[in-house]
Amino acid sequence: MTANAVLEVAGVTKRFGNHAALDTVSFAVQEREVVALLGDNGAGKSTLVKCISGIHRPDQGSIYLEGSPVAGQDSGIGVVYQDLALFDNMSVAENLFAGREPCWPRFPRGFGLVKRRTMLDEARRTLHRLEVKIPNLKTPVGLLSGGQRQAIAVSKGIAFARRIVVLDEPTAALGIRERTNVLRLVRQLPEAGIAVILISHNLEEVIAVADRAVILRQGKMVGEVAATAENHETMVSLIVGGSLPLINGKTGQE
Amino acid sequence: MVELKKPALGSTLVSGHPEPDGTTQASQRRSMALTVALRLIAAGPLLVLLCIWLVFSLLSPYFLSTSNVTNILVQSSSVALLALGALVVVMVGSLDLSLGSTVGLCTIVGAVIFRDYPSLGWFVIPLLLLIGLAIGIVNALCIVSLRIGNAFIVTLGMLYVIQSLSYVVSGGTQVPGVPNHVIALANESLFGIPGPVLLVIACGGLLWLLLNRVAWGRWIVAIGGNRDAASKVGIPTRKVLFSVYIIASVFAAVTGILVAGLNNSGTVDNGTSILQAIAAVVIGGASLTGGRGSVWYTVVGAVILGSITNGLTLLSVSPNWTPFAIGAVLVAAVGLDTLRTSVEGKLRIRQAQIQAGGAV
Repeated sequence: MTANAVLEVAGVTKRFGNHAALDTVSFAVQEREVVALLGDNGAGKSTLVKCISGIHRPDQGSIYLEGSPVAGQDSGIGVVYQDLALFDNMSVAENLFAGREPCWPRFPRGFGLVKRRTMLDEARRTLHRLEVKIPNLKTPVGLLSGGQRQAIAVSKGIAFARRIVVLDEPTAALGIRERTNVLRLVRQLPEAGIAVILISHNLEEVIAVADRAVILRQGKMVGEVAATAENHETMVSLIVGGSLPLINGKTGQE
Repeated sequence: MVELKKPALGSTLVSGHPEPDGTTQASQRRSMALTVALRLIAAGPLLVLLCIWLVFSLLSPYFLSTSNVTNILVQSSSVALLALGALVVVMVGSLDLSLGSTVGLCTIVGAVIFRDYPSLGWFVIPLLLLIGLAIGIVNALCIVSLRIGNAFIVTLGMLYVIQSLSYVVSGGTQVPGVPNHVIALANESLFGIPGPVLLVIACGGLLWLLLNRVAWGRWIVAIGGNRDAASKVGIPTRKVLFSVYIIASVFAAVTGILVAGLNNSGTVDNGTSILQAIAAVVIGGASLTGGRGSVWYTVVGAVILGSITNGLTLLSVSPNWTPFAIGAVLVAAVGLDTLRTSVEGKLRIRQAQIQAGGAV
């Protein structure tokens, strides 16, 4: 166990039938660190995210959050999914709290009344802290713009992250200006004491915001390098494996 | 790519339109007008009901009399109750076609128990609720746990199975006579309000509380909106879905108790009552793809159907035309709802623009 590791992935293997989606993957994320998780489609990134967030249980190995094993989905790891995982038919506030509504009474889970006032106040405070501007928190999310929806998804992930947040392609569907804003937000997180795992296909983006890059290929971890411009080529070759199919200095990715 | 190494604190994530220095009164007034317009549009089913009542009251002076309105409400009560059960399933984007057969089976079991073991009459209501619970569990096991197939097919099969059981239990005929307290529930009044109406209000109130205020009910709505997302945020989707079929069947059992009391007999359901209930749900503005629906507008939907039947009878129109009118209203209601959704969307975007102080 590393001294300051917020999250440690220790020898995690996950099989679906005969196919090993993850094969003894190990790495650690230190406090206030932004770690990029790189890999081609099917490299095992999404499976790893699901293991970290508690949706999948690893077949072998364990995941530790601040030294204790991750169990279930309420472990304090915030996840922002590629497809945003929003409910278009529900309000902004409800989306932020979906699955963990403040309830009275709190037990048994799900049987209490939702404390709507508390939820609205907390939602307003969270969005204010993250400087996300939504005029009316009772608006159904389906009626918001793409950028606003993304902002809510990211806020939701961050709001419940005590120490670490996983961002799965947070900028994939965004325009340039919205992308810049989301990345700026990602960059603020370490200052607030929250470590970040960033999944991205965009190496420029990774170099701009990440400290370190962990590279997966066919379920195996094949490299771990500092996310600097000098290592750009190294990262590309690790992602695609073997010799580089370089075309005009760019790969087929992106 | 922009250089982002230096964290820029105080940045704004969503760069909407800048706050206007002074929001003009005109745009405030426009925002108010839009809010009113949105409220009106959202009240669609109620407006349809008022239109229908207006037309019938012009054609027949007797239509809006207290006794006839009471009649309409009592006649609509069984469809309304069953529709509330159907609504729960529709909320998650599914259907339960077996609910009507469950109503029939419950009326028959109630009547047969009373005929063969009159001393066990007190036990009829709890027994019927248990039957509803059991059928709900079977449905849920097949659909949610065993994942046999889609709910439409599984519950279509269950429709036949339960109907067949009803014939077996009843011997294929109507069974007259049910316990006195069941008759009382359906035929007596409290504070001048008929029992069936009170029953609908009570059950509707409970369901409203569940779907709008209780976390479990919000999860039902969330699953209807986006099932994938629901499991990702940690909602126990399978447990919630399981409960949905049970709640629906228990509502069907309550409907069965009511119908038995109203008819003072047990009758096999011919399979059309669930179709009426689903029609009421749709006329009440629910979306069959899930996530959108209202308890009280579902009741309004049932009252719309009841008003049409009642009004046409008052006007001495041949009952052969009643299904025609119901079908036409159903299609019109769905068309109106589609129109409503698109207009509503446009208005809301407009409202958001005005609130954000954007270009008008």
